[in-house]
Amino acid sequence: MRWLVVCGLWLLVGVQLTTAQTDSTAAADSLLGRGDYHIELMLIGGVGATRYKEPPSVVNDQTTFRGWNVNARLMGHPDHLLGMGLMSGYQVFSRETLEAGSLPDVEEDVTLELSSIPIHIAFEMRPLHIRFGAGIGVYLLMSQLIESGGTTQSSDLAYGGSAWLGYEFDITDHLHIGPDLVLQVLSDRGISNLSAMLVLRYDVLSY
Amino acid sequence: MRSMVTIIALLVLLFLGSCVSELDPVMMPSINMSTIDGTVGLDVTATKQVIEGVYKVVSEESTTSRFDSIISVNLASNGEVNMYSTTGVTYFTMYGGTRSDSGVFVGRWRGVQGPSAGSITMIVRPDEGGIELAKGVAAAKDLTLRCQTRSGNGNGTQTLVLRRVAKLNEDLKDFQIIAHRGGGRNSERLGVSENGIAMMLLAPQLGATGIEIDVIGTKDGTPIVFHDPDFTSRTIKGSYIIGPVKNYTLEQIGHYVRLINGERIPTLEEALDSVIDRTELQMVWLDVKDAFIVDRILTIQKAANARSKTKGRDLKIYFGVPTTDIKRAFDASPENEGVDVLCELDAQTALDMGAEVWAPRFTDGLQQGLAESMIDAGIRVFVWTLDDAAFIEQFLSPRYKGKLLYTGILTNYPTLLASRFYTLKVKP
Repeated sequence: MRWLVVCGLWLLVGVQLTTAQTDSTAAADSLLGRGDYHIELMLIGGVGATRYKEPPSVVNDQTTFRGWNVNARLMGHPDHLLGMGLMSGYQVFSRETLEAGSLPDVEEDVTLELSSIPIHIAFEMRPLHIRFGAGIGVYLLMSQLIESGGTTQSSDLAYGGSAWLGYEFDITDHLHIGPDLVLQVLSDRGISNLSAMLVLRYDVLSY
Repeated sequence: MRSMVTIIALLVLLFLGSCVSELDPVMMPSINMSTIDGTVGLDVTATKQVIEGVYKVVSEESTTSRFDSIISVNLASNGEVNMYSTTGVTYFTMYGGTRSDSGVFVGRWRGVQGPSAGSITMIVRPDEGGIELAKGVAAAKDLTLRCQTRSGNGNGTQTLVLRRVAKLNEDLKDFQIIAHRGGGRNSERLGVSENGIAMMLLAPQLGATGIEIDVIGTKDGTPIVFHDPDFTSRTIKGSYIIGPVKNYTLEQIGHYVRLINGERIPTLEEALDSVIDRTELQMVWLDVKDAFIVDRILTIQKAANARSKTKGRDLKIYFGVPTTDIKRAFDASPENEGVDVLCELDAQTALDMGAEVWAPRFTDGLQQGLAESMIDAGIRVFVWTLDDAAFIEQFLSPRYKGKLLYTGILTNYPTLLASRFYTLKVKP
């Protein structure tokens, strides 16, 4: 049922995007020149903190972990402020090692890791040099239990969203760089992640 | 610009829509045991025959009526007095007995479809059946129970006077009130998890006489009690354990997964041991989810049956056959002799398998003729899964050869079924 609602809302978003393009073209309120379309590739990397609503390992009380991520966004900016595209990458939410005997249930050293590949539809606005946007979609969650007897891997899909705020400096006409603050929330998994990122944006195509 | 604002608003809505809302917890009060001190005694057998029955509410003082005009009362052999009311699907659990010539009971009530809960005190005056209750003899006149209930937040009291008008439904011995997933939806607000041992121990208070539990296999072939084929945030805590249950060994599951309310996921052996040792449940329906663990399940089922008999328990454990995959595995198993089978497939398959119970889904309708032919063949007929009062009454109505046609109903609301079943022949 939730996915039906999501699909319905995406349909509405699509309709609104079509309307948005017509309006902006008519009003010529874009900061870009008329007819100036951009395809942009953004490479993003950084470190962050992941907070779990409940301790992820169950046996340990720790709920906040350091993580890292690398992402890419491929965005299309038509001749108005709003851009739309896809975002994906790889990120480690948490990795912890439980040493044998440190906790009642831990009889041997074990390393636990949760990582993910996000696949998001992303929207972004870039008035002047300020950049803010949001993405929504799925995360392919991947877990690893690394024990002396071997590694157990498993995966699952989760639903989540992200939002970011940043500023960029021009290196050249087509190359830009700047910091981003990115918040990701996987609400039904009780996972949130706040990361400080460095964004490198390249205008792949303008027409 | 307006369109962009709309888009952003839609995104925010989409994001908020994905958030998981939490249910309000039940405000279960603690029982003041000082009112049932050592001067209170209880002869379960004697009290049972005096106090059990169907009661009519003859007087009520309250701003809002929270309970039914008809309430059933029964006494478990552990001394719990259990009452069931259809309105708000409410159950009451009380402890106590007789002091001098009066009955004194205290306990809790809870509406299972919401967060409402509270405390209850109940007395039986000497001239209203207290003397007979103390002596364990049938009351000369109808027993009267005077109850005062208080809601869990301390606001609102209700005084109820109940007078016994009938015996409990005499079909009781042949009928099973079966709680889905070890206890049904009642787990949602009680701080216990579906298919968890705590839920199974609570099931009798909710009115269940039997439970259905789901059995699935781990990577190393151990049957555990768990419903879904995958670990998800709906059922478990533990973010490192995700995806198929079969990816993990029992040891890994034991270490890094807890049920949603913090309990360990029980193995089938642990669950059956708890049912045998710590409950008075009369039946367990094993809803078998994996074919590759059928041999192991049958071995455990036989061992539990033997243990149950040794302990003098009147307990039936049924091997559930929900799919043709499970049937094939059962037929091929060297362990399939001498176990009770509950078949959810078609009636002919149930006959061919020599099943003790045929359990069609309720959406197939009453199937009266077919059900009668199964009873003629010596096979009991259960139905699953009924949560609506109208459907429950529909399946409680047909009788055959002087007995109920359907002698077991699986439900998420055993309290609702219990209240309807016990008061079947009494009109409000």
